Amino acid sequence: MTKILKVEQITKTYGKKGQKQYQALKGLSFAVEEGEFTAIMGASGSGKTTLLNILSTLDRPTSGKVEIGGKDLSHLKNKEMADFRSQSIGFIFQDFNLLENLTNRQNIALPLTLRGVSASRIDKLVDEIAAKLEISAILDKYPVEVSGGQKQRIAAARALVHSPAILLADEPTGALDSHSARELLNIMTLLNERDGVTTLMVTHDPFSASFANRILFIKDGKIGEELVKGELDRKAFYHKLIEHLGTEEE
Amino acid sequence: MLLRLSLTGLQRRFKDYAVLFSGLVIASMIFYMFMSISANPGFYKANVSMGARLLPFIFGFGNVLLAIVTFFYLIYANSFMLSMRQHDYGMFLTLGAKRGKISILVVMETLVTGLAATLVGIGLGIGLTGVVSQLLLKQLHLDLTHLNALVPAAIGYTLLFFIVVSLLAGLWNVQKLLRTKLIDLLHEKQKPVKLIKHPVLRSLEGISGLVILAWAYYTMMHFKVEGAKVEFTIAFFGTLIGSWLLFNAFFSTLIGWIMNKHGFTYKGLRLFTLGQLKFRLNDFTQILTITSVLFGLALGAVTVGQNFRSEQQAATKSTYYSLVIAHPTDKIKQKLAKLDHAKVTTYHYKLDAKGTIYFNRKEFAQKRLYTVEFHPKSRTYSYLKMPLDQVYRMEGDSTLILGAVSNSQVRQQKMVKEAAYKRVKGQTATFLLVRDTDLAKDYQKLKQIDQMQPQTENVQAVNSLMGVSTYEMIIDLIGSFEFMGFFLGLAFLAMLASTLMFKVLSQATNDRPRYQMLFKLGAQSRSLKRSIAWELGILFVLPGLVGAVDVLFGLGMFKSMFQNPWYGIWLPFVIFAVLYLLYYLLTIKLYQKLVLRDYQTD
Repeated sequence: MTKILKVEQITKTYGKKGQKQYQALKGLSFAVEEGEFTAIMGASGSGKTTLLNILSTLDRPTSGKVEIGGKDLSHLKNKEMADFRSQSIGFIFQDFNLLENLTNRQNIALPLTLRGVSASRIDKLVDEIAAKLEISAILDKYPVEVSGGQKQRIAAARALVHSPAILLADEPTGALDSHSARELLNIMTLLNERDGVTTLMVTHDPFSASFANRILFIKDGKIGEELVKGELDRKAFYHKLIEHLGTEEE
Repeated sequence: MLLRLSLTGLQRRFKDYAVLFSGLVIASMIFYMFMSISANPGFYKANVSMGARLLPFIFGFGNVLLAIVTFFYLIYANSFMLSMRQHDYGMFLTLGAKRGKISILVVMETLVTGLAATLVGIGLGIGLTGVVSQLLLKQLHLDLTHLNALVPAAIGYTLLFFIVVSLLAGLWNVQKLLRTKLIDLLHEKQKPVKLIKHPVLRSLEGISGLVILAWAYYTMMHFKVEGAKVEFTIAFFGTLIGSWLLFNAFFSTLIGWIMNKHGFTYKGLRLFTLGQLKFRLNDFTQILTITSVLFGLALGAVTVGQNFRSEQQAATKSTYYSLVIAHPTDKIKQKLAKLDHAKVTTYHYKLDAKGTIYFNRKEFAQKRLYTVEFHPKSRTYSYLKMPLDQVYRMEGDSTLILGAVSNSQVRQQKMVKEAAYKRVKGQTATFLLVRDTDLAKDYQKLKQIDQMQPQTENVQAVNSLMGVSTYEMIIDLIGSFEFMGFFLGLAFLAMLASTLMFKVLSQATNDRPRYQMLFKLGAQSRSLKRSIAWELGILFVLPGLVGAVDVLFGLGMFKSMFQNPWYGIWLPFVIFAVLYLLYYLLTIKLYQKLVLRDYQTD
C-alpha cells in the first residue's frame, strides 16, 4: 500500500520571535495509507484545527514536512498551493459552506470549473456523483431549499466530484441531527469501502470517529495513542473507543 | 466603561472607519458646495436676471434631489458602520450591557461621527468652493459675481440636514439592532438569500420594463411644449418604473439565462461571479434604479448646461449691428479700424440752429440699413434691407438707430431729399454703425470703444439692443446655467457613486465567508480579485449605461430649446466616465481589502 499522506515532525509556532510564543504543534508525525478512513480525535486546544489548516495548505508549518500524493507541500508557492487544493484535496466543513447564491448543481460544479474541466464533462461528473450520494432530485434547488442533511451531502458531492487524492472532513456531523449524521457517516463509509476514497476526518465526537478504521489521538500538539478497528464491527469499535476515552480520563 | 469599550472598538477598526468618515466628509462637502450657491440669493440676483424665473425651480429641484441622494448615502454608509460594529455590540450585550444603553451608544456614535465629518466637510467645502468655482469660471470664460465661498446660511443648512439625517440613521441602526437576535450579532452569518421564483413571471416583468422604458423614450423624443406636463410625467415616471423593472427582473433573468449556458459559465469563477451578481442585482434594485435615473439627470444637467454655450453662437446672430457710435472721435475710428471683423458704415447728418437734425435720403438709399428676421421653424436668422419708404419716414427699426444721435438740444429729426439736404445750413456730423462678425473675439474691445463716446440716454438705449450688449447678456445667462449644470452634475455623480460604493462595502461582511470558501476550494487569490472586479464592474456599469441611454433620449425633450441638444455631449460623457471609473477602482480596492483580508497570501 502506498502512503497517500505523510506528516513528518511538523511544528507550528504562533507569535513573532522575541514576543510571547505559543507552540500549537510539537513535532507531530503520522501517515495515512491509500484507501484508509482515518479519524483524528482531540479536545479543543489540542492542535486539531492547526493540523487541518496545514494539511489543507491554508497554513504552513514552522518546521517539518507534509507530503500528499507524493508531493512535498513545504516547497509549494502560493499559486501552486491553490492549484494543489483544487486538484488533490476535497473538503467537508462543519457548517457546509455552500454558496447560497448558486444552485446545488452549480455548487458541486465549482471545483471542476476552477480546474478548467470542459462543460460537458462537468455535467457528466456532477450527475454521476449526485447519483452516488442520492441527491439527483435536488440538484436544481438552492441550498436554502434543502435540509441540513441534504446540504452536507451536497457538500460531500462537491468535495468528491473532482476525485481528490484525499477527503478532509472537519467535524462533518457537527451541525447535523443524529439521523442525518448517521446517514452522512454511512455514505462516507460506503464511499471509502466501495470507491476507495481516502478519508481523514477530524472530530471530537466518538460516534462519528467510530466509523473510521483507525483513530489517532492528538493531545498537546502531538499524536498520542492510536486505535485500530481491525476485525471489529462499528458498534464494538465504538465501545472500545468509549472505554479507551474513559481510561484516558483517569 | 461602555464608552471606553466603544472607543477601543473604533480604534481597532480605524481603517474601515477612515473609509466611512471620508465618505461622510465628501458628502457634506458636496452638500455645502451646493448650498453655498443655492442659499446665496445674491448670486442669482446678480447674474441671471433673465433666467430668474427658472432658477428657483432648477435649484428647488436640485435641492430635493441632492437631499434624497444624501439621505440614501447616509443610510447606506451607516449600515456599513453597523455591519462592522455589530459583533462588538453583540459582545457588549453578552457582557451584560442593557439594550437601551447600547442603543444610546449607537445613536451617539452615529451622531458624533456624522457631526465630526460634517464639520470637516464644511471646512473643505468652503475651500473647494473657492478653488473650483474659480477654476470653472476661468475654464468657461465666465464672469460671475457674488460667488462667495463662505455662506453662513449654507453652513447652517448643511449642519442641520446632516444632524437630522445622522440622527435618523442612528435610530434606524438601533431598531435594526433591537430586532436582531444576539446570536446573529455575534456570528457574522451569511444572510439567507431571497430566492427568485416564477421565472416566467419574472421574464414578463423584465419585458414590461423594457416596453415602459421604450414608451418613456418615445415620449421624450416626441416632446411638445403644448403637452409638456403630461409628457414630462410620462417620461419621468416611465423611466423610473421601467428602470426598476429592468433591474428587478430583466437583468437577473438575463443572467439566469446565461448561467444555464454551461459551456460559457463553467469556466473558472464565472459561475460564482454570475451567481453573486444575480442575487446582488435583486438586493440592489432600489439603489441601482435611483443611481441610473439620477446618473441620467446629472449627465443631462451637465449636457444641457453646456448646450447653452452652443446657443451662444446662434444668439450673436440675433442682431445685425453690434454697436452704434453716435459721437465718433478720431481715436474711436482708429480703434475700430484695428478690428479685422468689424465693418464700419459712416452716415452723415446736419444740425441746424433751430435744433433740427437732417439726414440725407440719398445716403440711406446708397448705404441701406439692415434689419433681422427670425425663422422659428429652422431657428435661423436672415438679414433684410429695411424698406426705403420706412427709413425715409424714420419708422420701424430705423427710429431707434437714427434717434441715437439726438441729445437734449435736438428738437426734431427729418429725412430729406438730397437737394434739400444740401440747402440746410448747419454743422455736419457723422455717426457710425458697426457690424462685427466675431463678437466672441471682439466684444470686450467693442465695449471699451462704446465707453469712449458720451453715454447719453439715447446712446445707451440703442446700444442696449445691439449685438455687444445682447452678447454680454447671453454669456452671463449661459454662464450661470452652464456653471450650475456642471456643478449639479458633478455633485450628483460624486454622491451617487459613493452611495453605490457604500452599499457594496456594507455587504462585504456578508460576502467574506463566500470568498474564504472559494479560497479553500483552491481558487487563486488573483482570480478572486478578478471575479470581484468583474462583478462590481457590471454593478457599476449597468446603472451608468441605463442612465446614459436615459440622457440620450431625454435630451430629445430640449429639441425646441436648442438647435442640437446633443451638441458636444462627448465632453460630459468623458468627464463622467473618468470620475465614475475612479470611484469604481476605489470601491474594488476597498472591497477586496475587506473580503480577502485574511486570505491574501500572495
